[in-house]
Amino acid sequence: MGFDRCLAIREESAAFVLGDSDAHTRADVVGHLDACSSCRWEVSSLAAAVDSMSTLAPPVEPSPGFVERVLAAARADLTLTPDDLAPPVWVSTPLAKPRPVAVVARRRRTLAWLTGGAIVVGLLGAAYQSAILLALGGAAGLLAAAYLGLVTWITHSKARHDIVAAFHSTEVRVDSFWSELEPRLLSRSGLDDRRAGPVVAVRNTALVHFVLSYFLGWALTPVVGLIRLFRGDLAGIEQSPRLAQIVAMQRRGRDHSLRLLVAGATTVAVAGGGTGAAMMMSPGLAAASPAVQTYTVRAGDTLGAIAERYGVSVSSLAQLNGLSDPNLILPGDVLQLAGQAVGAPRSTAATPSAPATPSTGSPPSSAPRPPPSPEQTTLPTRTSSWRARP
Amino acid sequence: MASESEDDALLAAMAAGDRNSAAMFVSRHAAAVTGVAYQIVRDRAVAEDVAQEAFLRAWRSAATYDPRRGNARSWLLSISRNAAIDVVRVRQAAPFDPHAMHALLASQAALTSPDDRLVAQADASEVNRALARLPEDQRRALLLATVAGRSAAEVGEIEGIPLGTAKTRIRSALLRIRDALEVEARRGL
Repeated sequence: MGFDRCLAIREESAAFVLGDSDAHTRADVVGHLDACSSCRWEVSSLAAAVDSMSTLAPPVEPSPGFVERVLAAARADLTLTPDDLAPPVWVSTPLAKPRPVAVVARRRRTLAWLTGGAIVVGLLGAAYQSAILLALGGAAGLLAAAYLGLVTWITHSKARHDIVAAFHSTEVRVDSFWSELEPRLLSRSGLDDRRAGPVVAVRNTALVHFVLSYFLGWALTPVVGLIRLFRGDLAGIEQSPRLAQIVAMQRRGRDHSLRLLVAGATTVAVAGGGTGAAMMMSPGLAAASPAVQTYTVRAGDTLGAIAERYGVSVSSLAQLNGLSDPNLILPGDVLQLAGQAVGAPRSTAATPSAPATPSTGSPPSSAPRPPPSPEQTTLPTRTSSWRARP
Repeated sequence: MASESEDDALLAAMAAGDRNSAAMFVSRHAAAVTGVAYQIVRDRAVAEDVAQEAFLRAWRSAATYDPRRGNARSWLLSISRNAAIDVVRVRQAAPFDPHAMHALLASQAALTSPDDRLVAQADASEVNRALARLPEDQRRALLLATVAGRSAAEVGEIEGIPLGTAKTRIRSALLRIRDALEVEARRGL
C-alpha cells in the first residue's frame, strides 16, 4: 500500500529539507515526491518552516563596498549579462529620435508599413509598366493617408474630451479656448515625439545622406517585415550578414527624425550658412516678415534669448504676453515686443543665457544664433517646446 | 507587507538584467544574508564570500522564482543558508562554541538594531513565539540544525546524545514549529 511508503518518506522528510540525508535516501524521497502530491505538500511546508528559522539569525553588516563587489562579480558572470539581441545600429546621433511610447511606436510601424508598401509597389508598377501594381501602390498610399488622418482625429477628439472632462462640464464652449490650446494639443498627437533633441546645423552632404537613409528606411520596412515573417524573429540575424545589413539599414533610416532635420535646416537657412539645400528642405515655410513689434517663436528659442536679441527684458515679455511660465513658449507663439525701451537687456536666472553680443559667429554649440533679421520663419507647430542649449 | 511586493518587483527586474534593481536588492538584504551565513560558518570574511555567492545564485535563478510560493526574503535566506552549508560541509567546521549557542538563544529576543527589529518583527516574533512553546532540548536541537546549519550527527556530538535521538528531536521540533506557524498564518497574524 502506498501509504506505508508515504510514512517511510515522511520519516526522512525533516532530514531531507535540512540537507542532511545521504544521496541514496535523497533520491528515494525525490522519486516519491514526483508521484505523491500529499507528501510534496508535507515536505514543502517543512521547508518553509526551516526557511522561517533563518529569520532568527541576527543581521551582520558586511564590510563596505559589498554591493559593488557583488555587482562586479555579476559582471564577470556570463549568465548574468543580458543578451543584446538587436544588431548594433549606427544613427547620426544629433538627428536621432528618442524612443516613443508603445502606442506611438505601434502607430508609427503601421504607417511605415503602409507608406513603405506604397512606395515599393508604386516603383515596381512604374518599372514594369503594370497598371495593377500602380493601382495597388496608389491604394496603399491612400490607405496610409487615411490612417494618418484617422489617428490625428482620434487624438484630437480624445484631447477635446480631456478638456471637457477637466472642466467638469458637458456644455463647455470648447471653441473659445480651443484656438489657444490647439498648438499645445497638436504636440500631443499620437504620431509625435514626446521630446525632441537639440537643434543642429545641417551641412549639405549630411542632408543628402539623411534623405537617402530616411526614405530607404521607409521603403525597407515591408522587406524587414517579410524577413521577420519567414525567420520567425530577428534574433539570430547576425548569422546572415546580408539580411543583417538590410535590417540595420532599415533601422538606421527609421531612426532619423525628419522634424529635427527641418528644424536644424531652417535655423541654418536663417543664419545664412549652407543655404541651398536647406532652402530646398523648407519651401513654403518662410513667412512674410512681420512688424518689428512682434516675434514668432521658433523651435529652439528661449525667452531669454529672444529678450536679449531685441533688447527687452524677460519679465516685460512675460507681462506683455501674459506668460505665467517663462519656460512654456511654443513654436508658433506670437510674442509682443512693444512697450519697452530697446537697449535695456536683462537676463534672468531662470533661462540659460547665450553670449551677450549677437554676433555672426556661432558659439561652439549646437544652435547657431541668427542675427536680428526681418526674415522670420515659422516652423510647423507640431514640435513640442524645447530649448536651445547654450 | 509593502516591502514584499517591492522585493518581488526587484527580483523580476533583476531577472531581466537590470543592475540598479540588483544593487537595491543587494543593499536591502545584505545584512540579513550575511547574518544567516555567519551563524553557519562563524567567520566574517567567509560569511561575506558566502553572501556574495548567495546573491549571485539568487540573481541567476531570479527568473525561476515564483512569487506565489512565498516570501522573496525567505527564499533568498534559504539560498544563503544552503550556500553556507556547502562551504561548511566541505571544510570541516571548527568545534562548536557553547558561547555562540547562548548568543544564538539570546538573539531570539534581541535583534541588533531597531530598524532590523521592525523589519524582521513580523516573521521573527512569530517564530519566537512558536519556539517558546517547544521543550528546551528540542528547541536547542532545532536551532543547531537550522540556524547553525549543523548536521544531525554534529548535533548529537554537541548535545551528547545518540544520533537517533538527535534526529527525533530535530524532526519533532520542526513539525511543531511548522504546525504553530501555520496556525498563526491562518489567524492572519
